[in-house]
Amino acid sequence: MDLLYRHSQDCNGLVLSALDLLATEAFHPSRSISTDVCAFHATMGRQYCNQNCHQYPQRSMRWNDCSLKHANSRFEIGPNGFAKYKRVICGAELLFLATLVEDVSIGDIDIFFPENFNRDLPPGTRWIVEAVPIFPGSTM
Amino acid sequence: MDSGSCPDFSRVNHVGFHTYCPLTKLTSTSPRGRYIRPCIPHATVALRHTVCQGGYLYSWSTIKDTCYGILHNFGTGLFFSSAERVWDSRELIRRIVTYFHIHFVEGRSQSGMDALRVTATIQLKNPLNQILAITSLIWLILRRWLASFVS
Repeated sequence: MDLLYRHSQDCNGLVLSALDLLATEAFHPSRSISTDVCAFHATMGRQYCNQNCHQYPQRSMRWNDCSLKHANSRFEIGPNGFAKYKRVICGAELLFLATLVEDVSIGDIDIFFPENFNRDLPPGTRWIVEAVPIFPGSTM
Repeated sequence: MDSGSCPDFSRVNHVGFHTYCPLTKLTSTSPRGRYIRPCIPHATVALRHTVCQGGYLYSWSTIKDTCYGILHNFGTGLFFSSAERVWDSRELIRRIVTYFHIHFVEGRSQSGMDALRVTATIQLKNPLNQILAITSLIWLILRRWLASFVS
């Protein structure tokens, strides 16, 4: 954080981004959309559920990001099929979302193979990119 | 995005990209929250110094895309995911399956209103897909459970 602060004060400083910071008290999604939270609390002590795990895994499922101006990330998808939500506390971000064209399904096995997808920008033949700005207080 | 500060999307979409495509295809919306669907590639650029809070979730309404996401993660070896979180993923999916077993098979709700809220998000328009998705999930979990005995 000190490093980010120092470079943010310097016009010739580096463009830095700190990802996946620990956030135990982060903004929570509505329980009407997060089935995992409901299921976790409703299945305490049940068979096939880890009996040593008494708390929802906040440390790995919630995070904070701090980015300096012009910091950017490459294209990625949520790990292990996770959906993702993000709320901007201060500043502003431009979010690029890519979706497949009509005749290609997300279930096709080869859509993320290197010849069809790269992390800098998805090839234009299959992917359509849309830019969405997120401002403080907004959730995406 | 919250309706209180809705920006002008038409100006943004002229910045060298394809023309407008409906936002509803990319994200799931509900009256109480919006999130990026599973399997949607996304990237960010900070326009100013920015602090964000966020997280991951599994939602029943997009469970089919979650299954595809697990498959693609397996097929591509996690090359483009920022974090692995395998243990959390398996534990939460196992609990979601258990949760629905309690609710639908055993026929009793563990937590009253919460169960009603979640079951309300099932898309009745295409029930076959939902059944196939949950069957695949059960199959994946059984395979993993059996594999733990072999190893």
